[in-house]
Order: sequence, then structure tokens, then C-alpha cells
Amino acid sequence: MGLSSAELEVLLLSLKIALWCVAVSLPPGVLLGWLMARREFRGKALVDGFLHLPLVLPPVVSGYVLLVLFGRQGILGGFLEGVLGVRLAFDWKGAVLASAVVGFPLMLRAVRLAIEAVDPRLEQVARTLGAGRLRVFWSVTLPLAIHGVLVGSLLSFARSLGEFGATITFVANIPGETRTIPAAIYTFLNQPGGEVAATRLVVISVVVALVALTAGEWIARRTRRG
Amino acid sequence: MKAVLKSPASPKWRATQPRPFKRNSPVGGVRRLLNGKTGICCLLSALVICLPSSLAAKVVVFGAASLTQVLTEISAKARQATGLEVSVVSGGSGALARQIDQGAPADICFLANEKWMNYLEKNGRLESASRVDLLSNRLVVIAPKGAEFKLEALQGSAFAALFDGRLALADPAHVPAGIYAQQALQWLGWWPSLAGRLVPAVDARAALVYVERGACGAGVVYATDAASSSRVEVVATIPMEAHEAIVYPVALIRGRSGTEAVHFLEYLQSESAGGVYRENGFGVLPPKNLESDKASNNNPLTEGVYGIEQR
Repeated sequence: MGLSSAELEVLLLSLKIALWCVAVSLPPGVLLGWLMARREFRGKALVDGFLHLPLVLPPVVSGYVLLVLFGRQGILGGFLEGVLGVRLAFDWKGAVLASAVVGFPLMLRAVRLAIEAVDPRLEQVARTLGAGRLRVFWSVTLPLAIHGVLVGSLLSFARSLGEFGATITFVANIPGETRTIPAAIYTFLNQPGGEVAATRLVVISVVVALVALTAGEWIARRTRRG
Repeated sequence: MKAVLKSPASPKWRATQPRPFKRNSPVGGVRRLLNGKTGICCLLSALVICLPSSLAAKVVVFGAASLTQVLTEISAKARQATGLEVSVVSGGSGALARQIDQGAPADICFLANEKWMNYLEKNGRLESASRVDLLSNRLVVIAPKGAEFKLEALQGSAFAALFDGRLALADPAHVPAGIYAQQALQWLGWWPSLAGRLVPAVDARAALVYVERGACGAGVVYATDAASSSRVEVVATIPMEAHEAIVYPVALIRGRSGTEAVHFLEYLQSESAGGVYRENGFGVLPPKNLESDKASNNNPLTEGVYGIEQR
């Protein structure tokens, strides 16, 4: 079964968006995961609840909020376009933002749990041996929690591949720009006789998901051994 | 934050450590769990799970998304006038048709598109005799309020230069509103100059939202959707010959001919329902499929363009 050029375009776009989604959510995910695992501060429960909102809200709502904030007349969208010249609405970068927001709680939870599982005494020992806080984080906490970071990245990647509601609400369904695999499947399912084309895309996404999961499992095993 | 190293002896440090497991029998553990607050939570959850669903309505109407408003109003009126309980299920015509085809519990279906109605009829899901083309609709060009532009004539590719940003429409790949919009834009000669600036939305309502929010500089939507929004301005009404006739057929689902659904189908074609359609900007087609009405057209722009050459 060869891929048509249209299918290849949809697949590559989806992969590009998913990889960017992981790249964009990793730094804040690790930072906030560490913060939530290791620090006590006022309003922590509130912050935690806020960060988990995309998990509770229907993705359509998340997408609508993004549209209001990052549209051309939105507060942030106007700023980004006017000052930095970056346009998110109806652009593949907007699709990255949408799936990053929706997948962020998954990334955060995995990282946080992994960091919480790191024995704080090891960090304390490193501190008594004279390592700075940043060095402790890089050479003790992060290496010990790396499987959580991997799992978080994998979840974020998978969520991005399957993201539909927020993406189609925020950046619509523009062929070649924001038409990801789920959006293309949706389009085909709404055409009488589009079932075959939709099935092909479903098979493609299942294969991609299996490959990603197997690769993730393989990497995780290697890091555990090392 | 200060870098205070918590010593293993401090109670604060111990609080951060996971509690050691106690070696009790699992039954005892469960019983202890059910005694406290957790128990109350479990009990409440169990109660909520057992809540009965309340599909008390007698007549279920599957209606196209663009009909949501009118169907809600009409079913409220019908309840007052006749005591009929009606519940409205709305969605895209394609999705609804597929659900009905798979045996969804609909009594009446009221779609925005003849093709999907034909699909249902071909699959033997309808009481064919009950099928009526009831409503018509128009397409309009809209712009965000405050950012509207003047369209002197509906001619040529000058249109693309009139507005900033992109043009929202329902997805021309599958949504009826988008298919009509593409036909219209091609008929008007605007289509080629808009390449790369189109935003295909999930449905006409979503296209409307993009324009309302100023995310798109212009849009092509149903006249009825535009009329429902105070945040967009109608720049032009597209002439009816620019696209296939927009017809809303309604029919009874097969096997429902002896039920109360028949009364509601009659009510949908009554004069009092007709008032609701017109208030919301729909054209009501005369019975027996006479020629579509051109009476509801009172936009000076459209009257002026009948002379424009067809492309």
C-alpha cells in the first residue's frame, strides 16, 4: 500500500506539528514539574488546578480560548503579530500551540511524578558536597527522573497526533497548513463514500502510534539499564 | 526561596516522604477506606452512576446545525400550543444522516442539504411521501463590525484587495455551506485571487465565529447566521444564481408515521412556524415544490447584479 502524495503531506505535517509540540512543551514541562514536585508555595493547589484545566475542559473550549487570545484581534495575538511578526491563528505554529496546551498536563504529570520519586537525600548529599542548585538539578535530579521526562514527551507526542477539537477550532482545517491526520479523517468521514480514504489514514496513524510507542519503550529500557 | 536543607529528623521532611505500607488484611484496608471521606465520595459516585437518563421527550428531531435556533423556538411554541414534547438533536447534516442510517432514535430529520436526504431516502430510512422541501437560505459576504469594507460592484478580482487577512467559509470539501460558497466565489470570479487566503471552518457557524472574533477579515456564510450575530456586518448578499439552490428538506423517518411525530411535522409546516423561519432570515418555500421564492430578496446590491455576465 503506497502512500499518495496527499496522504504523505498530511502525515508529514502531523509529525512536524507533534515533534514541535514536544519540543515546545519540554522546557516549561520540566521546569514546572520540578516546581510542583519540590517546592511549597502559596496557591500551589490553585496553580496545579489551572495547569490541569486543558485535561478537564473540552478541547473545543481550549481552542476557542486560544482563538480569543491569539487571534488577530486578541490581546496576545495582536502583540505577537505586531511586535514579533509571528502569526499563530490559521498557521501550523498555531496547531503546535493548540496541541501543546492540550497535551501539557500529561507531560507535567509524568515529569512531576518522576521527580517526586527521586530520593531528596541524594540531592542533599550533592549539596553538602558543594554542588550548586542548578548543578544538582542537571547531574542528580534530571538523570534520575529522565524516564518520566521520556514518558511525558511520548504522551505529549501521542496527544498531539490525535488532537482534533482544539486544533480545528483555533486554526481550522486548511489543506497543507493545518490539516493534520485527524482533521483529514474528519473531512473524509463527512463525504459520502469517503470511508476508504478515512480508513487508510486511520491505518497510517495506528502504524505511526505503534512505531512511536515501541521506540519510546526501547529508549526507556535503555535509559533504565544505563 | 532559601536553600534550607531539611534534615531527615525534621517533621517537615518526614511529611514529604511516602507513608510506609501497613501490613493489614486487604479487607480491613477496604473497610477503613469506606469509613471516612473516601466512603462518602464512593457512595455519592455510586448514586450519580445510577441516575436515570431523562429522554422523556416524545418526538426527537434531528436538525441541521443552522436550524438549531428556529427548531428550539418552534418546539417551545409547539409545546405551548399542542403540548407536544420535542427534543432537538443538532449537528452537521452529514453526521446526522449517518447516525440515522445506523438506527439513531430519530422521528423527524430536517437537513440543510438535499444530497444527504437523498442518501437516506436511497437507503430506505424515510417515509418518502412525507418528504418536503421546506426552507431556503441565502449566502452573504460578511466582515467584522467596525472593519467592514465597501463592495461597489460584485465584479472581478478586486474583491481580494478590499479586505485584510483571510476569508472564512465552511469547508468546501464537505460542508454544504462551503460547497455553495465555493460555487458562488467561482461564479463571481473571486476564487482564483483568494487562493492561499481561505480558512475552511468546521461549519458555517464556525466561519461566522472567525469573522466575529476578527480572526478573519471577511467570510461567506448563510444569511441566517449573519442575521443572528450583532458583531458582523453584511457587506453583500450573493445572488441566488451564483450557486445551487440552498434547500432544507424535512421528512419523517420510516416507521414513525403513526406517531405524534406526524403532528410535529405538520406543525413545522404551519403558519406559526413560518413566522419563526422568516424572523430568522429563512425563505419559506411554497408547498408542492413550486419555483423557489424570490420575494424575500430585498438587497439592492443583488438586484443590481442580475445583469453581470456569468463566468
